[in-house]
Amino acid sequence: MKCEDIGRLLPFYVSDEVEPDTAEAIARHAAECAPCRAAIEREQKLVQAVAAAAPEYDFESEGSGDARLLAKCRDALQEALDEAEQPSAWQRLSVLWNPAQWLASQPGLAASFLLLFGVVMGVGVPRLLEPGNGSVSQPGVTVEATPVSQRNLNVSDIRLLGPEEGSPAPRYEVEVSERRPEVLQGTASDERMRRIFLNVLQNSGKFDSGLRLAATEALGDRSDVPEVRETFCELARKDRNLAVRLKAMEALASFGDDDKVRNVLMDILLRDPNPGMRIEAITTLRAMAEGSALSKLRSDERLRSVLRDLSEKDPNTNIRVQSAAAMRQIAQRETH
Amino acid sequence: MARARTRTRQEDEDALVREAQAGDRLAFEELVRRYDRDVLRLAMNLMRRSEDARDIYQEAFLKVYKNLHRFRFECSFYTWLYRVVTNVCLDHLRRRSTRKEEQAPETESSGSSESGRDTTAGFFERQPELRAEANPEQRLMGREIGQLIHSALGLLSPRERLVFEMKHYQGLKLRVIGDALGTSEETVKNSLFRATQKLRAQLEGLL
Repeated sequence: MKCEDIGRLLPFYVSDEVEPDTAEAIARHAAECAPCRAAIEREQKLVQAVAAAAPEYDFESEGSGDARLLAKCRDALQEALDEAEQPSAWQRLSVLWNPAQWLASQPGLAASFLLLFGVVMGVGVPRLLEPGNGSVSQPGVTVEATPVSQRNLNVSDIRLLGPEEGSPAPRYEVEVSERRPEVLQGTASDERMRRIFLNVLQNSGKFDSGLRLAATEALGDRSDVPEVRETFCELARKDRNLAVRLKAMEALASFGDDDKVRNVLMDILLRDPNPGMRIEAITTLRAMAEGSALSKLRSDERLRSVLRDLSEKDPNTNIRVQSAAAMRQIAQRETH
Repeated sequence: MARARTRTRQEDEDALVREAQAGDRLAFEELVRRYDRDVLRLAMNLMRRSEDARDIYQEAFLKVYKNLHRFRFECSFYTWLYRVVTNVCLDHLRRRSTRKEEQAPETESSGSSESGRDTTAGFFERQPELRAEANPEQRLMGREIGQLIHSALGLLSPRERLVFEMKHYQGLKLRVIGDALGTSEETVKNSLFRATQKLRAQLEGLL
């Protein structure tokens, strides 16, 4: 190896980016060549100076400027993601006057619509063309002269009836209903209202976060109903909106003696990446300890072990402090 | 044992990515939380201003979110994420160098932020050898060297700057940097070589 080769390889040699054979050859050459040895030393000092000048960041200590910056970045990203999930006003409008777009997104409805279109064109239109026929009514088949709203159309069945006498074209029977908006009023204790709220919460993919939050609020006082409680457990665990999760968890606070509820809280404490959710889970547990669930909390070994682990190992200082306080709260009451 | 742990973590990450691709927002947020410190650190090192770093953070993760369906597991998610982040950083650096030609340079007293260290002076306060244990002479020397390094970094092209930061401040291997920048290791080596030459020239006689 020659001196000019060393010069070319210096930055990579000192930052451990050359093959072992090359590194060995450079070291052998440097042992014999004072100028190259000095050049390597200078390069090493340069790398050390650069490394020493590397800025340090403290994202972990709560209250530090860097941790606040990180928290702000995360909050802003959450909001941006919320917005990104909502279709733009233009997209919503374009769907209204572009039936092809919503038919493409709902293949089942599109197929039904095409079948219905075939029926209308094959059976209804020829009869409409007959003089004196504004609309045609036959048993089982009703074709209206005014088109039904395609958006709310529901086709529940299509049956082949066989050809009419004297005509080779097959006939069909179609059951069609049109969904129309209906306004209901009532309390969350009304069975029908409750079913509607539950429907929103149990099919969260179909409804936006505003509706889910409103439904969670509406059912907040009805966690005594097992199905509501079970739904809230699911929401607290994995709804995609943080506000819905928090609201559901808040509603579960009075049910600390329910094993499922405690399991959900422990699941959040152990697995939820969001420290805000973990803190709220501890707050909920502490609220439970104030009420009738205390004896259940006291006897739940797994819960105690989870709290102990959190108080020792959670990366978030507040969570460590809160978990220790929750443990003390339960233990103190135990001694009384 | 370590190999098994690595594989488990990789599998776990792949599962998370798949869940995020299927629309699971929580899975996406978990991925963000795994890597966002590195992203913010890189953005802060490059831009020196928390407002700019926040812009890069948001733009990069939104791009990742919107393009996640294009990720085909041909490389690690980390590498793919870094590819997106470095592209965003390069755009910002290029825009900034264009703006610099049009505007007067920022003074050290300008700018403030939640981190309180947006200015060049604040940037140097982060540097470890400027702190407590060094004697006054060492601190002065450290500050001088730090400022020279800072000036030299300002002379680098956006790509040289990015390569240098990723190598020396993020500790990434050249192969990984090449993957992230979508270029060959040889090209990355050339960038690093030029960057080091410029830096060496700035620090001539001080080391």
